[in-house]
Amino acid sequence: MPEILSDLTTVAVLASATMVPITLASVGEIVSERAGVVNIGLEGIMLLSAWASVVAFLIGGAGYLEAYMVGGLLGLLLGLLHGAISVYLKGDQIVTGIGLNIFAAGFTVLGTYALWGTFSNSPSFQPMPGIAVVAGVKVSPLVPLSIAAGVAAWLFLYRTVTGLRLRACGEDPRSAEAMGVNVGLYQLAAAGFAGLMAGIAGAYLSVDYQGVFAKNMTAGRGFIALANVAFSGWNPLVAVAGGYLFGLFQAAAISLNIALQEEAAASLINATPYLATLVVVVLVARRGFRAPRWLGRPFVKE
Amino acid sequence: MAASREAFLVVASLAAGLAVGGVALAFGGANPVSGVYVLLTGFTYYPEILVVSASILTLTGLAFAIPLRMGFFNIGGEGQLYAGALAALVVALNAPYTPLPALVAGLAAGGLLGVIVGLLRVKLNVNEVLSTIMLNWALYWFTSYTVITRLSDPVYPHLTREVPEPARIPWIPSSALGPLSDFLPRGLPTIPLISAAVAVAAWFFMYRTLPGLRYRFAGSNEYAARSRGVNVDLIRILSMAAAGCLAGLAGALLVLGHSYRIDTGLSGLSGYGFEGIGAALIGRNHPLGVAAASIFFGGLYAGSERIQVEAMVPAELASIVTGVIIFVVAALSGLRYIAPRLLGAAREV
Amino acid sequence: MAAEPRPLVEMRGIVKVYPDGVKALDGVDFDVYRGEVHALLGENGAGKTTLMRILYGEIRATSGVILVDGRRVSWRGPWDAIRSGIAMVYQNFRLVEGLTVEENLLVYLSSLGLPRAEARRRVERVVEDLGLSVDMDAPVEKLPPGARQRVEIVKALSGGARLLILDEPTSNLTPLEARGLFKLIGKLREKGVAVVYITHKLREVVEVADRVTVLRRGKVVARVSRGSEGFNEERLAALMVGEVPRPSSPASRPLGGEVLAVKDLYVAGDDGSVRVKGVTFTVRGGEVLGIAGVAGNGQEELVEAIIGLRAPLRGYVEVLGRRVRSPRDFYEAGGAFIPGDRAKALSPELSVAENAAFIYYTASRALLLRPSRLASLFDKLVRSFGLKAGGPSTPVSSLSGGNQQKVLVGAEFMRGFKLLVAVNPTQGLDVATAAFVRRLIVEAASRGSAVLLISSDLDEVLELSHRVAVMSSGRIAGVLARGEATPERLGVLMGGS
Repeated sequence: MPEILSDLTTVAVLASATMVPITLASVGEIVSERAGVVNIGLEGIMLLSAWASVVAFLIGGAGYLEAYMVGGLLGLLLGLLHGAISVYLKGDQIVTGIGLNIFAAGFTVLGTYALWGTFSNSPSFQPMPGIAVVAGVKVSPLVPLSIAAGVAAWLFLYRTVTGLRLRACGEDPRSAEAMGVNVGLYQLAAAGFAGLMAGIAGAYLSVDYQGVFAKNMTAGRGFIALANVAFSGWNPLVAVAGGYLFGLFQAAAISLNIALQEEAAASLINATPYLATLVVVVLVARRGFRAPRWLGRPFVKE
Repeated sequence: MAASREAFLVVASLAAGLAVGGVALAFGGANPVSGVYVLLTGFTYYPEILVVSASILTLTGLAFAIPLRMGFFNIGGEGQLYAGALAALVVALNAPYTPLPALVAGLAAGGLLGVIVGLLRVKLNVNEVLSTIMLNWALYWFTSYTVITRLSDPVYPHLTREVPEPARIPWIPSSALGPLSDFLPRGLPTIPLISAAVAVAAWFFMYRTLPGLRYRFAGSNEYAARSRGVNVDLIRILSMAAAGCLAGLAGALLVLGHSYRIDTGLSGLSGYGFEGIGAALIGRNHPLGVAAASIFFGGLYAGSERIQVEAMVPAELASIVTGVIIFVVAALSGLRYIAPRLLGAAREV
Repeated sequence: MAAEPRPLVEMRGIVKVYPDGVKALDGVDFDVYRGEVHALLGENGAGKTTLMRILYGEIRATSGVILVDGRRVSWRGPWDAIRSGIAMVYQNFRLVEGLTVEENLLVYLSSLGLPRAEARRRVERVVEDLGLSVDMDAPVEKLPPGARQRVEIVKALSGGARLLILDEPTSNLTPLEARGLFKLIGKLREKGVAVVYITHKLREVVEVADRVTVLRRGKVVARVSRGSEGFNEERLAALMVGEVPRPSSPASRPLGGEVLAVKDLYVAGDDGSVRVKGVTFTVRGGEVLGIAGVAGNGQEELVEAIIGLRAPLRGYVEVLGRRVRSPRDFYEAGGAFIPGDRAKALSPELSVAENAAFIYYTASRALLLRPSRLASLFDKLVRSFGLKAGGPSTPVSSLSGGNQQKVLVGAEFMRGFKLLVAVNPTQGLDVATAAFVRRLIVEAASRGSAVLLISSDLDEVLELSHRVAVMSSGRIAGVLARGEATPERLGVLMGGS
């Protein structure tokens, strides 16, 4: 019995580590989608940033913090690029995201090979030290920070006039513009923020969580973040809870895989968050729970 | 009207893709110019990759293009393909007599997913991008689970058992290929014939039948279609069903005619669904255009295998080029809003 | 009004020529004083809204001068106008539906640089001043149109508006809500706010306006003040629609049997309000029944119910004895349909021949579409209907409006029909093409088809119809036989009762 209890504790703590990238990316994406820009390239941004921050760390001689900054900055730039295409070129938001994901999957492999001569991963290194160790699991400073990011995003969206103006853009850009909101600017900034958060999430994965860059190491986390955005009903506070829940699924899958060599059960657990999200969205589709109305559509002024 | 704009989109995105590919080649330590040349011509070394990829991409490309006309973003080609592959494999392992039941099973499994997505959107207003992303990943893990638990090969646990010979799609022997036999010493899989037939059938339906005209019309002007008695909701759901069937068929063809197995990481299946979107975009959603673009992308994949051998640059180069092409087409797709007069005439209606 | 020395706003010699060469305004003078309700009256397309969009800074005049408080101004956009105290309340409100009333007000007022507390104070003052009750926490999407309109007005006044432009303000309101609006306008006048009231409804002008400027085809045809001689519905109607030439009567022939029967029809609009309220009429073979009326009085919903696109709340539609429950029923019974807006009939992405084939094969059960058939449809359009287009595969969007209309009308006429429902069939056509389409309609009737012609063009209705029914507020306000229909009588019926 005690062994199972300690296992459960480990899973619960491990979930705080696996929740970080999901939560960060979800919070950023919620702000962006509230402004009306959807980015399904989160997965690609995470992967590129994970790679870039390892390059900065191993080759550029950067410290942990600088590596984080490189990841975040690359994410910010990619988010702004996506935002500019969505806002000013009226490009197709969904499809650019898909392009970004495919590009990232190819580029990081090629880049890994070019720098380290293997297709699969960078040399591993000592991951960033944590602020505490609980039940044998390192606790990264990003754990409290990602929760704080969710709270801050909620305060911003629901307790500031700027947040209100941003939400107006995602609901009805035409009316927002008529009421004096510079819709393009808000959307661009929000898209940049989503990129920044996904970038930090990517850096966390490689520099902080695993201490290596490995091919396709994001393993669908960007998509889980998108699921969490819908799951949370576009509310950053709920997204923090959702992030932990989805983190718990991942932690359980990891523990099962390690402890019992139960690859099969892990697969089923991995499938759960996606199905759960779909069920939640279907169940609440009729009641007040809905995406921002103008999500993903180009706003063309008359 | 828009013909010049369409041509501009295609040329600009292909050029951007190859240019970034060249930069990536230089980054990987190869000569970019000769590298791009190898990328484009290397298919002669791997004609089978060209043929199979082009065939599969044609189907997944159509699975994106057909619902897109009705305003649906079917990015669920991946999941529908997994479902088709899994269903076909299960049937082929249990009823190993002819490939036909397995093909039908694959088609039906994908189609069922398509219908679910279509119904969710039309009846419950659940966004299809969201539902297809969720289904893609749920199916990825479910397929992986089934492969491990039910279908695994006792000798190679990360693979499923092989499709028995009678349930495989036959090959055309090399001897029957005449002058092409040098290129295809193993012969030619029948997959491309099926894909080509599907593409031609899709073209025929769209451009040579009245229901096809109504389908194109409904996607373009819903009010006009409804006011002339066209059941637009039904067409929407059917277009998703057809898309699912095609992606499911693609999965079935991969398993029954090419790989004969699935691996636990689904590495033989994954990617086709998303990359089909590139084929659909470059083919400008025209069935024959999608087929032509698929041949280009198939050549790219074959060429990237050659690059890996010749220049030691990973074959993932193809993904870089594909990703950039998709990205640029999408980025420029808004030109019709921001510069209606720049390329082609403005719309008057 | 004239007692005041200087108008709040003055527009002089405003000319607006659109890029396509259409002259929307031709030297219009307009002014409005503090505390005055100034109606801007005219038919659709007379230039009322264009004039006000220029005043509001949304579009620029080709030439002309705008003075505010006697000073010449030049707007770069609506926000310059808003800061000068000019606000517009659109027909379709510009409120974010997913946000609450208070949030909407806050978005707007923060754009004017007002901090949250100051914004609240201003809103409270305006609401109190006007004696309104506004639920600040209600989501806008839950509010009825009348309440949304009050929010728009509160929004404008809290932002410091001294002049309110109301664009067709009663078009989405119930009669009761419209009453409330008129009372509110009275209060605004007391507070010294200037109001420009854009409308084509005569009754409302007589009810609320201190002064009215009548526009016709981009020119001012009259300015009438309350209390002066011409300030009544009959005179204003005549000014608005102009002198209608007495039409030459079509040869009267014996009429055939009943083709279209509409019985006690009630139809709801998109917003759920009842737009058609108990309409009954029949059209017989060989007869043209015209339905006149100002657009937006339920004609659109009536037409959609007749073709089976909109299910009636009550009553029914029959074509040759067959009940119409879907568009398929309508077309299979021998119906044909020319909608008022070409954008509602053609697909811009498809070719001329494909558009023609889509219409020609309406409700057809055929499966194949042969290229040769497309080509012959195109040839017929060119030969019989004078279509000018590059070829069968030319995109329909590259044709002029007149040629697009020929594709639509031509394909429908080639199909053959026993009942034609045509809405503004000559809208936007050049004179020759319009005459050609009218001749087709007359010929169709003389061949024994029934024709229901819904048009806001009085000349056209009077020229073609055997009988004219006037639709107003969802009802048939009256049916006049050809001889009895004069512009004055029609105008009064159109103005509503």
